[in-house]
Amino acid sequence: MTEHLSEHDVRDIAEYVRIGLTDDEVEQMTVDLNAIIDSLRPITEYELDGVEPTFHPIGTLSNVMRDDMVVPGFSQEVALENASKTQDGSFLIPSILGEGGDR
Amino acid sequence: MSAVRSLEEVLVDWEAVIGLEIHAELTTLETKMFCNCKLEFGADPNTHTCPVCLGLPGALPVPNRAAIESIVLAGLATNCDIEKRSMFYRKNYMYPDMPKNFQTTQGPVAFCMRGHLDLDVDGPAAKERYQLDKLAVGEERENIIRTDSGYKAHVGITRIHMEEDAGKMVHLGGGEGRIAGATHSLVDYNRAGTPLIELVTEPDLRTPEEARLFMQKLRQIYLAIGISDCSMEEGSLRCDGNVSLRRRGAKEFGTKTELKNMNSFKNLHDGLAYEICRQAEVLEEGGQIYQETRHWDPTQKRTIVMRVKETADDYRLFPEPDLAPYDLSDEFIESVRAKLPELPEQKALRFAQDFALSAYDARHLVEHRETAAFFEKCMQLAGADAATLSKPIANLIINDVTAYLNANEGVVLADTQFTPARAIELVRLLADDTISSKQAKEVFSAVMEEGLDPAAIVEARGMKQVSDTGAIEAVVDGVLAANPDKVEQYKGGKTGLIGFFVGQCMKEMKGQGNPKVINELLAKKLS
Ligand SMILES: [Zn+2]
Repeated sequence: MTEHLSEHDVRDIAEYVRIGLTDDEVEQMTVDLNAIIDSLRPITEYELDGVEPTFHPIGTLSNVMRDDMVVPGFSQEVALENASKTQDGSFLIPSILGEGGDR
Repeated sequence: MSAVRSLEEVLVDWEAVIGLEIHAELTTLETKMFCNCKLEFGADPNTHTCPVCLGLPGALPVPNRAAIESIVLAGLATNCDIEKRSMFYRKNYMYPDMPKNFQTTQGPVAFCMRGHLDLDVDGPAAKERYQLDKLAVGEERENIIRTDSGYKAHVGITRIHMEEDAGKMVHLGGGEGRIAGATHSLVDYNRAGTPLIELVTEPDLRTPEEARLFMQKLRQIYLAIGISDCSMEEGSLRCDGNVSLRRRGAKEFGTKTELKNMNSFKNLHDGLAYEICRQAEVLEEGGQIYQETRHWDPTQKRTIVMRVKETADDYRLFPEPDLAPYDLSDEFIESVRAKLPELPEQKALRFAQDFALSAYDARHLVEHRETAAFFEKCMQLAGADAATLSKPIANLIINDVTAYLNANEGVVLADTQFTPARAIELVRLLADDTISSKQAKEVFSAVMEEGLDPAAIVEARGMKQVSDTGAIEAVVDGVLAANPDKVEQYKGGKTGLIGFFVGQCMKEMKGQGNPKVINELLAKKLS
């Protein structure tokens, strides 16, 4: 089996997606991910000359839109149901340093 | 660090290169971008959410047609090309205000590309432009053209793309909701998924005034097309600025900083002005500008570092597989174009032409939709006199009405006692010399306070201006007879004494004499 990803790569990916892995798990995950990438190898062997690239996975569907009409969603109680901590109708979370994307 | 030199001094040696990123929430819509949750500012926390905007597994987004219409409308109003084919992308990042862990936004192709706005910069605002006085009227340099009263600047718009807003966080335990020192945060997802359009300008702006005027003009346009309430205070209109400096004559751009928290027109101007001076000082001392995000603190009057960008953020942008791409039809685009109202710039041109106003007056009348509508209503009521009453009405609106509205925050013209009918009545009293312009100001205030018609106020206060030539002549004769020495001096060349004579006549008449008639009679009798 080819090593497409090193253990170091796997640690980086885990960090990106905020998944905590033990050393044993990193080792196992590296094996698994490399196996998955290997299983995709046949794709690289197809004859693709003259085939248009697919620019979107949805295919021929386009311009899907809905009307601007309110449909009631969750009540506050339901919205907060899965939260481990709440306060004054809000999700209560530990302080996070830094900031989000640049909106 | 304190900026020592003034902006104008700094701009002699350095050229500032400024680009803006302006976010507007589409607050006039009923629902969010990708779900049917209600858009409402100030609702109880987490009362407008659903599986889509909370990012629950398996939830499928569906775009709001009215939001797509709004962004196309914004593009048409800012001279953009409307791209028929575009799509949504996922911009991945982990932060608690974005429950999906990605923001849905657009990729390299946005709905609106390659637009522009032309700015009229005049008065004190034009002073920040380097060596403007070296240009003759009509002469061009780079992206500006010199005009009678200042210059016109052509500002390119790179793109306007569609995206969604994040939720709101309140930080606890630190000072005043700030993140520094906070131990916990409260998250409210009512705002998550609010339709947001982001406009990015080309780095075509050269002065803080140009940036402020661009923002003002864009706001007027967005208000005119009705896509947002554009409240900078409540954050439905937000502006970030990118600033870098280069030596006059240099071609290459310097390192830029990104400036945030400029939530008023004044803050936008002052934040940029400060940052330009700060960068100049650092560079002149041989220092280096770091690519960083800085926060404008209006109370301390300085910018502070929020974060240093060591590497480009890795947002792993990829096409959103849950949303179909767009291939907008001509019919769709034309149906949006049909909704395009008269824009402020067009309205100003029409006012200037139809009512013989100066470009300056016309531009100030259209600055606010309600004053423009008020003026228009007045002109309808003026009928055949529209051409003669347009200038005094414009003055009344630009000076007195605007000052009143500025002094009474939150008051809208429609809620006051001042109606177009009363405005016309007031300027007619002025035009036929019933009252003086000084008295007109008093009547204006009285209309606002007492809610009576101008004629009734003039009557009740007995403030009618005396224009009867016979009555005034008697007073003039009396004043001249009482001051023979001054009359001699006047005739001997001290013509400045005319003010003394007018003053004496006015005093005799308790301020109610028509100054025009008094002046005419004095001139006749003293010649
Ligand atoms: Zn929702």
